[in-house]
Amino acid sequence: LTHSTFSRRKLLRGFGSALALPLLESALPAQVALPFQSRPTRLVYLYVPNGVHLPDWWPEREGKLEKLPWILEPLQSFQGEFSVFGGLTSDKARANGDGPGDHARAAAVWLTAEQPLKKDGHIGLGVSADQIVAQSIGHQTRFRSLQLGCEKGGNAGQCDSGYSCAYSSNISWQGPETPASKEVNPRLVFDRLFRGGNTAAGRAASAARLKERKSLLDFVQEDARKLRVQLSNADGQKMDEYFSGIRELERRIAFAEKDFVAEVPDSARPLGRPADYATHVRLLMDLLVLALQTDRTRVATFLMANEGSNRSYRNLGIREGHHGISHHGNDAEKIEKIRRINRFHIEQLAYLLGRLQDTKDGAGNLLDTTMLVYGSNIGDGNRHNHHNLPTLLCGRGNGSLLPGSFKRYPDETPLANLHLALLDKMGVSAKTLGDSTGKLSL
Amino acid sequence: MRLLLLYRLVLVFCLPASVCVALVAVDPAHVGKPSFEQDVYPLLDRYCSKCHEGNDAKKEIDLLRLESEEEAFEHPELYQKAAWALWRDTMPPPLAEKQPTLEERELLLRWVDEVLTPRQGFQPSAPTLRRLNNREYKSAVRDLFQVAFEAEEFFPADNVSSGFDNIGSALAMSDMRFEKYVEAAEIVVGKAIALDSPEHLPVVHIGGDEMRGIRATDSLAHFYTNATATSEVYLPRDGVYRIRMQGWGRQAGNQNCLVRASFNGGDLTVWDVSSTRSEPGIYECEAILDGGEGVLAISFLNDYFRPKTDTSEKEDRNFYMDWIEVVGPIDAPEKTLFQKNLALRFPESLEGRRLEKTLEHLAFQVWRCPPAGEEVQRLLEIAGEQSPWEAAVRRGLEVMLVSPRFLFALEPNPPPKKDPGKVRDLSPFELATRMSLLLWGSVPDEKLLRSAAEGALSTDRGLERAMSRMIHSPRSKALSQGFAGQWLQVRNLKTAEVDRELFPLFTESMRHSMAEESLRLFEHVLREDRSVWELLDADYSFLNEELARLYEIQGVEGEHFRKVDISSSPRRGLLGHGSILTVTSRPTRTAPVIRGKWVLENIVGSPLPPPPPGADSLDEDNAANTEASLRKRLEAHRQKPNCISCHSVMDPIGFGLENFDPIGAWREEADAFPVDAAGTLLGGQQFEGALELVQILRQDDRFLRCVTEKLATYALGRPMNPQDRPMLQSVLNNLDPEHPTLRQILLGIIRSQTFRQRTVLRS
Repeated sequence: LTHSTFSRRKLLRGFGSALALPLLESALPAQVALPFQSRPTRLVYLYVPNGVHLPDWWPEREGKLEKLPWILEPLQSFQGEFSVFGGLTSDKARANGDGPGDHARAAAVWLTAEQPLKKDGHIGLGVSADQIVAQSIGHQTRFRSLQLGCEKGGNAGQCDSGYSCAYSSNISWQGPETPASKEVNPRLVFDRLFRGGNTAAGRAASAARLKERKSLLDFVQEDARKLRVQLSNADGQKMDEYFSGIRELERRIAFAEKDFVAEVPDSARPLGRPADYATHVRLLMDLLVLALQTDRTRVATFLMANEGSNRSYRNLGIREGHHGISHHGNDAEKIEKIRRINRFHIEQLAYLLGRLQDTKDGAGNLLDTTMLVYGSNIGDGNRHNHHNLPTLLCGRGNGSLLPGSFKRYPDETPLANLHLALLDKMGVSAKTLGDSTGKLSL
Repeated sequence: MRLLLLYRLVLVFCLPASVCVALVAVDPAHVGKPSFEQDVYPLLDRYCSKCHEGNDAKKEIDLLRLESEEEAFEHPELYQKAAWALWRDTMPPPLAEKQPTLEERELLLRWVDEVLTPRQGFQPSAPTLRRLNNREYKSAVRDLFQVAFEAEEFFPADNVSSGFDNIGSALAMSDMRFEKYVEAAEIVVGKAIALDSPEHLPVVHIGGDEMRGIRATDSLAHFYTNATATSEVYLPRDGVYRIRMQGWGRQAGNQNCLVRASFNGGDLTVWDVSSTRSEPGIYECEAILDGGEGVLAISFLNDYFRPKTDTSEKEDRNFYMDWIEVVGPIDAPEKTLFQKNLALRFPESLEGRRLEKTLEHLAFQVWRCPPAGEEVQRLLEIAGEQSPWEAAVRRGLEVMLVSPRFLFALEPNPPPKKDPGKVRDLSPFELATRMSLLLWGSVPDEKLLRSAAEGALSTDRGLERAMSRMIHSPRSKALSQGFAGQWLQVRNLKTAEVDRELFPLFTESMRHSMAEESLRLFEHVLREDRSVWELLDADYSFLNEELARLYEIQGVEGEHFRKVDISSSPRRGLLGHGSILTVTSRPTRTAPVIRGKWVLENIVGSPLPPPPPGADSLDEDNAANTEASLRKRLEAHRQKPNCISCHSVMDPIGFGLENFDPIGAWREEADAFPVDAAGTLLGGQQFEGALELVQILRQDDRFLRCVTEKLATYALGRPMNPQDRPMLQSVLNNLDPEHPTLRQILLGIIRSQTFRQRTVLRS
């Protein structure tokens, strides 16, 4: 890469400053030399909490998308780039004897389709769809997957009716007891994915560091091995998570040594976490696009807010908390507010789709090669139900998707069937996922 | 204690449910062991059979299935569970028609404790291998190396479970977290030991087209007029930096281009740029700059233009910049305190053994346990590749900080493997770690490790002495922040959503002030050995000006906190704190149900069962309706039979606090209706307003039980379970009834077998 290709890079200098905008827009040249010939397919999941106001979500009739419902209107210019799916159900997010806690279950179950363990002090779930892909094909990229979010989580007290807080703040699960951590600070995301690669000196420093890291990993691995045999079962499982961390970092180091990846200039480094929510969301979306574009990873999740989030959308003039007003009790004023929050989220999705579409990828653009699922695992927020879930599938999946329609599947069709279908398109063969009954025909 | 408890019994507000706290007080008039068939089974039949019998028994707990003692002995956990629910007043439910008498409760618990449990022997359940959480990691590197590292921002959030962030089973280690530990070790060690970097690298390289405020083409910044271009840079520390710039001028007139470099508004130099396009020059200067975020600016100072005339060509002086970079810091860094102390302790005169001695010492501190000779050799091997000594120490520390011996509170089964199921004492070092995680939210200091090595922690007396010292150390602030901050949920103030338009007093600094008030009260009660009851009824508080303004208390000025007499205000103790009143409110209004629930869970310690399916939105249904007061609306809908049993326990408490608005300011009116803060509790006690409510709670011994249970959860890093009841009861029995203190509770927990021993589980 030469400097001359960074045409509008000076815009980047505004990051995180008082203006906070513009974002990562055009941090990279239009053409990035990627280390592969064929364009890979990418899989992205975007989650919004507390359900949506469904009457303004569903298109009038099935088939080709024509007039978009109010909430989806911001997607007008992407009419041919996404589909609306109705009838999908997440049965494991239902109580099934476990009592309340629909928010915790909703986030936890969305991509795992497993019933979360409700037991004081314990966590037990399954591996999420994105992580199944990450574990299966993630070795092809420097990072197996990327998990982003806007809220850290970890508040005191009960998060939701006796469920561990891990559930409502994680949609990506690396193992049944191990949420794949998410990053919320744009600067840390940048540092992890891109930092130090664009100058010779930076590269030399990282090469030296990689070598040191390798011997460090050898050392601690031996430590952990010696200790492992002295631990009981439950303790040993914790140590196994540690081993998994070692292995993944070893793989990364090996990968970095032989790998050529497109570098991103350090000058694009964001300063921190913007106070403004929309800016925060878009900055993370920019980084997500950049990660896909430079093939740092092909799998990502983005939790726009933790499930049950009671954030006030003051930027929309809405002062009450999101969760509070999602239980609108058919109060017209609250419904109006909830609709606007739903639409605001869709505007952010439109921003992301726009960024993907504007990013060249081989002969086409990034939206062509991406499969992006947007949705919530609560249908009607007022009722906390988990059927007929609001679900969008965006992008063309490298030609494997034919977007642009509203499809209603039979009631109670497992959402997991959609996951299974997408896994298949990612080249990951899985026979089942949670309560799936087969692959959804898309 | 007995008398006191029996006396309180008359006053406790929720009589049927709370009596069992007083059980310890009942004189065991009838000695002799109870029997299952004659004593226990009939009670289970009478009080539990409605819900816990047969195939449809609730929670699949069938208490009537086994009819003989022989059979019951086969399933001790079933009865321990029942005793636990009885002891915590969660069963029978508060509104159940039939409630066992005091003697009957006593009988059942005695059978479990004296007949059933002794048969299996005491097996303390250990916490699942605890990873240091982010809070502990941060404190550990602060205490070990005097390094400030924002671990809570850097690492992914810890999973909170059972209300706390230190529950071993919930503290996962994702791949990403592990990776971050490696990176964190490099950062921390880099801060702990300052080293000359082998080569001076550019901190930042900024292309001309990356500057703000200037036109650019082809990565070249064009200064056509006197203009300034800026760029943010981040400098790792205060120090000397070299600023390098490549540029050239289109020269004209009688001067070269003059270009000024400045940083954060201060001029660094003015370069006389004489070079031209064909051969751009590199211009340098050195300057002492402040570390952190800063703004680097380049200004073109002497634009010159003379239009073409008949006699001369147009003259136009312009400046062009290719790039600018900041290199360094190039001065030798100042040695850190940690580094200086280490060098004094392990002077060069140790020669060949210097590194080995240093690593051995550090491994002891960082791993909280003396390293085996073989481990020191391995450290020496990996660190010894580096020189000088300081670089080698750095390397050794990096490795130590990623090792599981640092990251986890390891309690391995000592080889040779003992029989599974056998109980062993913790090693003094394991015990020291458990204590320091509890009291300091950090790792043991050198003195504690020395006490451990000398065997001082193996006696009750030694434990008490160590604990006293630790409580009086400033590090015990972590107990108020870590424990009280989570128990009372004041930690949630950081993210509490409050409508600022309705409540303009709730500023960013107010979040902090509110939390500080509650943590300071806890700290005061802990350190000054005040009665635990003062948490509930203190007629003093810790205020600064903005809190005092919120509370309408005169004469408190300035940002600093001080102890203030509030006896003439309607506030007493925690329930008058803005912190708690805010975290239990909605952004725009109070939520009496949440406040009531909060008190039950965190003060009374008898959480109610979760609401039945579909009930959860009732609270919100009519909240927007302003034709009746919130109280009337809530009362109207809790009449549903499904709801009333719990809401009649929760709601009156919450209504008692209605004079406090959503951020804890006093009010006489809410939504234009006068506040009605009178109530009748389930036990029949009537009260009028918060002061009287607090007086009733103040008489309820369940508060002591609640604090003990929460502290024990935090201390052990796992939820309490039925097997913990005897331990908790014994801690309670040993409290001074006239003056129960947090110290007594902590000491009781630390001295318990549960804290000092662990069961050797199968590998």
